Amino acid sequence: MSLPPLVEPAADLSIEEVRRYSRHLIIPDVGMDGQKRLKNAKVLAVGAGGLGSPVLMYLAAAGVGTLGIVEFDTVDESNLQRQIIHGQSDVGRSKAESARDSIKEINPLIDVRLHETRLDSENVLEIFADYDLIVDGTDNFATRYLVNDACVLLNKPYVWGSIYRFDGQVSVFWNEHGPNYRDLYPVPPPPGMVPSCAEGGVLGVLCATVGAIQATEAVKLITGIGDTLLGRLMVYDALEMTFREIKVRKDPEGEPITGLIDYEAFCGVVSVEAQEAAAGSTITVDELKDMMDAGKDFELIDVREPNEYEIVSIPGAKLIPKDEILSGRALSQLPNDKPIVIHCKTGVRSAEALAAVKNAGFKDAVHVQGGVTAWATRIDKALPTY
Amino acid sequence: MSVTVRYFAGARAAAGVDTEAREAASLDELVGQIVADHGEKLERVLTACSFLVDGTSVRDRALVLSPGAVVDVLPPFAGG
Repeated sequence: MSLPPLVEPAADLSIEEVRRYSRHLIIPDVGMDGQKRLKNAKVLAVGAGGLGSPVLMYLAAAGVGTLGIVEFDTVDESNLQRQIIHGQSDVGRSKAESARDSIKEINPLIDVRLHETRLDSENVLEIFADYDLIVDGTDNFATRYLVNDACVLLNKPYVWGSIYRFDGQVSVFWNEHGPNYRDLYPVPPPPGMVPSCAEGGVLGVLCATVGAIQATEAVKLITGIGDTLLGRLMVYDALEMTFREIKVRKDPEGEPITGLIDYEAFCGVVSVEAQEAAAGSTITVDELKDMMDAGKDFELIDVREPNEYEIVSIPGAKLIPKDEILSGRALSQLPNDKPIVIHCKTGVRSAEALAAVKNAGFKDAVHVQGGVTAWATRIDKALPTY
Repeated sequence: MSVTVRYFAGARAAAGVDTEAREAASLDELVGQIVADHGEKLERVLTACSFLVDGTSVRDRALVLSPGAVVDVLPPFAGG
């Protein structure tokens, strides 16, 4: 959808800016006018991770005058496979500061503003208010609905992108002129149904493809050129190497968004069933170690996927992927004559599996808080985390 | 009523096809058919999917499908 430019042009460009942005200036559709709009633009990246990295780097290079970054996390070694705004020497540093340093190296003319906080219903409207455009690259459903609803309430456009394994989805939402995220996904998926990148993995370079499209759309919205993805969703399949387009219309029966809600509760980090099953039936990795050391007879079941089991596992654990348990197929493999202890990577999937196992009559089953990650950080520090 | 079903991302992987033509009068009937033909894996994916009928997200599975409708089956993910 073709839209008027989002941002008014700055008064002028310096000689230095003319030199730096010359390859933009000689494109007639961008020109001095478009570059002055970029200079005047204030764009907020929510997350300086996989998608935030290419988005921030390209928007910095493109000369977006003010770049904001919302990010509370620190750089972890496992980020470096895809979060190219951070480097080896940044491990352990604040992601926001690390991103700012990279941006300044790409383009010192940019004003960078850091918001080193977790975005929530209390602070989102105040943080977003100063920006023309939001780019969403967060990693969970609760924050995505929060970003959407805040943009609707503030009447701001935002560029949305999402990635998982080899698949990408990208679109522009702007409630005033077209659909918002809730027109595409009215309600979040059932908790535990959709794995995160930390659970399911993501091809590193997928971030570049999807993030570059997000940055492209940001430049188009700011300068008012071309047809944006408002009302369209691009679905990228890196294995098939296809881009397919889905038309997205406003849902005429969609509930109007009139205020912010409790997004954690709305999305439910774990389902009510899993929470109930886990209550009073959760052990720590220390308790698990004690059970092993005491020679207790029990069955330890790892409900992760086979490739995760290959990376690291707890000694003696038997692999039965969560879906095998939820579908009921693997229930016959569970022992009737000894206690069952279930674990996964961090304790989310094991809680879901625990609910199913208890429902099947194994009332004494328990699950392990923190999963194999807690085991590797507390009990056997020689084991890797992932 | 001939309709076109398009599967995306995890739904495509579970169905094993990109696109297929179906004869179905309602979304309910369509979902019943595709689950019967493509099995339990697709059924699981569908619990999280959006169904977009000619671009509009549909929550009421009783929806009557008009001839030539395009039904997009799209699973969400939130990675970034």
